[in-house]
Parts: sequence; structure tokens; C-alpha cells
Amino acid sequence: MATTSAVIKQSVVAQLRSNASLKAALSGGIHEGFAPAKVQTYPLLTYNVVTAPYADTWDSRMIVALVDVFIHAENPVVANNVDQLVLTTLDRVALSVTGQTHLICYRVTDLPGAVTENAEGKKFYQVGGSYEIWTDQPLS
Amino acid sequence: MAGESLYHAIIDGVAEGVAGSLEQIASAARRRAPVRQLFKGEARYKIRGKIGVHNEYTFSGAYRMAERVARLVAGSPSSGKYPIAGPGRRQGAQNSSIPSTQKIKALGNQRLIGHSSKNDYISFREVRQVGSGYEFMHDMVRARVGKKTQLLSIRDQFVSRAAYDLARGTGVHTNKATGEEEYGGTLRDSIHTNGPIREMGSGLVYGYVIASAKREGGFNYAYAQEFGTAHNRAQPFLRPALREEFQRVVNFQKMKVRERLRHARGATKPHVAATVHVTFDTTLDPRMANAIRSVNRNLNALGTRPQSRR
Repeated sequence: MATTSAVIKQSVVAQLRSNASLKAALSGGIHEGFAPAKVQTYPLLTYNVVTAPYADTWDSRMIVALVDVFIHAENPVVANNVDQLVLTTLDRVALSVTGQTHLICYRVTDLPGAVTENAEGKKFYQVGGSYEIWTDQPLS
Repeated sequence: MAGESLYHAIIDGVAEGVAGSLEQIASAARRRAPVRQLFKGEARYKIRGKIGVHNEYTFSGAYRMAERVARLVAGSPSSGKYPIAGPGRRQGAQNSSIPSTQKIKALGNQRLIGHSSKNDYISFREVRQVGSGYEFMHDMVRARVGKKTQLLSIRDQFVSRAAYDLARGTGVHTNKATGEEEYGGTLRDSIHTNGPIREMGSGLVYGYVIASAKREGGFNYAYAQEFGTAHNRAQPFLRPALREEFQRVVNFQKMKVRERLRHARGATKPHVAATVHVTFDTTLDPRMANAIRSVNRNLNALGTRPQSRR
């Protein structure tokens, strides 16, 4: 049975969690989409699947998923260092995707950073990149 | 020289292709851009066809209807008189304050301004601006639900965020095209194109699709919607629009260049590069660049032109 991009997302998270240094660096944890308002510990990581179009042939399906991974930190140096850890964890590594054959996972672009302020005027730095994951699976 | 005219003809074709491609991507981005929801239960991004013509409002699809419904008629609180949009009356007619229940009954059939399904409709008769926010003169309206007419609370029809925004006056902006106030749609209306831009000498033609919505204080609202923040989910619209239109854009580029090649004359077919940037602070999609390189190969690069930059 064909699977969707959800398993690709799961494999990305599993890969991120497998890096002990990265996990230790992310005091605020790993969150899909956004971190809950009560999470005020930084740095934290958020990820989001931007698009995951299908390319079907007669008997197989290729999914090209684009995933944004952002690091949010109180310090731009920390944000960039953790982003570098994410790069080494995901760029050109083999992911284990349930039901699909992993073809490639690579960073396609750095994303423009942003600086936001909370109500008290404290600044937070957002640094990240987009990763493209190509998978293939047979269509029964 | 024949070669020069051929080269310029191809560049013109590329520029034409870029201009059309940018509009395709921008249109897709506008369709995908998140818009604040006003009513509960309304269908977004679905076109249901023309609903009907009622006085000065015309509806063509649930999505467009949501826009129209959100148009607020703001009067001048100081004058004590507020404009009414009633059946058979032009917008801007004035009315003195009358107790709400009597007013609703006196005006008879309700005029459709917006609804969440084909058979339901709600009428907004009088709105006034109070400070920076908006409030409706009547808390209850007579509305038709199916074949029955009943009194409904206006505020109950709004999603809670819309009710909060309207009370504070946030989320309301002036539509530049119509000059009217609308709730929601600032981000969508800020999407525009810039191009094609020709780089002289290199044969590079490029353009931008830009979403420039910002909040007071310079907060980059479009960025926050595309990429998200630490505590707000991203709602990407630019990059999905590019991916959606990707193949159509490439085919359109090829078609325009081939058209120009067909009409141009000359022995040489120069190497031409055309790149479309989808930029949000200069984010280049490398898949687009790869596709353009394949277009270049199809053009059978000949001659001594320098290789164009991406």
C-alpha cells in the first residue's frame, strides 16, 4: 500500500533525534510547526513540510518533499551553530523511510533569517534551511 | 547582423516568457495565500459559482463572497448618523438611530451580503466605527436559514478571532483597487511581481514574485506566514505556488522562446539563460535553475557567446 509524506516527516525527526549532540543542544526541544507558548526554553527547533508533490509513473510514485527546519535562539551565534549541527545531521544522509525507498536528502537552500521580539523587547533569532527529500515507492 | 537580431529575438522571447511566468506564479500564490476567516463554516478556496446579484454586491464563489462580506461601511461617529446599506438604497444613505428590533422589522426582506452556504444568508445593515474598532448597530439580524427566517446573533456568526479583530479594528485594510475597507486579504493583496529585468551583456533575464505585507513597526508579516516563527505555524504560499506552476512555467518559457526562434532568422543559435527567481529575501529554488539549464541545452548552444550566469 502506498504511503504519504507523513512517513518522510517521521524519518526526518528520527534522524534529528538520533544525533546526541544536536539533541543535547536543543534545550527547548523539537516541535512540528511551532512550539507551544509555554515553551520558553531556547534554543528550540521547528520543522514544517512545505510541499510534497507526487510524480507518478505507471507502477511507481516519487515524492519530492520540501521540509523547512528552523532553529530559534536568543543568540545568533548559538542559532547558527545549532543550524550547522542540523546540516551535518540531514544533508546527504540516508534516511530510513517506512514503505518508501529513500533516494536523497539534501539541503537546497539557507532560509532568510529573522529577528523577532517578545512583549518585553527580548530578541530571538531564527536561522534555518530547506531540505529536499526524494523517495520512491512501488504502486500496487 | 543576422546573429545579433536572432540573439535579441530570443532574449525578447525569454523576457516575454518570464513576464507571463511571474504572473502565473503570483496568481497561484494569491490563491494559496492565507486570508483571515470571517464567518464560521465558510468554505475557503472553493469556487461554487455565481451566487447572485444583490444591490451593489456581486458574488461569484464562496471565496470572493467572503471578501465582499467583510467590506465594512464605516460612518462618522461624531455626526450621530450612520450609513445604511438597505434594499433599494444606495450605499451612504443616512438614518437616525431607531431601536434595533423595530428597525429590522421595518426594513423587510434582508439583503444578502454573505453566507456560509448557498441557502443561508446574513445581512449587515449598519456598522459604525468606535475608536479604532467596529461595532454593529444591531446585535440581532433576521436571516434566512434554508426556507425559514429567524433572528440570529451577529457575533455568533463570526469566528472568535474575527469578532476580536473587528472590535479592535485590526485586520481591516483599505482595498487599493476599490477604495473600500475589507477584513482580511492584506497579505494576498500585497503579492506582486517585479520583472522581467534584463541584465545587459550577460543575456540574463529574471524577475521576482514578492509578498510585501508588513505590520506596524516593520514586522515582516509575509515572512512570518511563509516561514513561521517559534510560536506560530508557517502557512507557506509562495513556494507551493512555484511548485504548483513549475512545469507550466518551464513549458511556457520554452514556448515563447521557440516562437521567437521561429520568426527570427540567422545561422547561429546563441546560448541563452533565463532564470526565474521566486524571491522572499532572495531564496532561489535550484530545481527551477536546473530546469532552465535543460531549456538552454534544447536551444543548441552555438557560437562564441559567454555562458550566462544563473
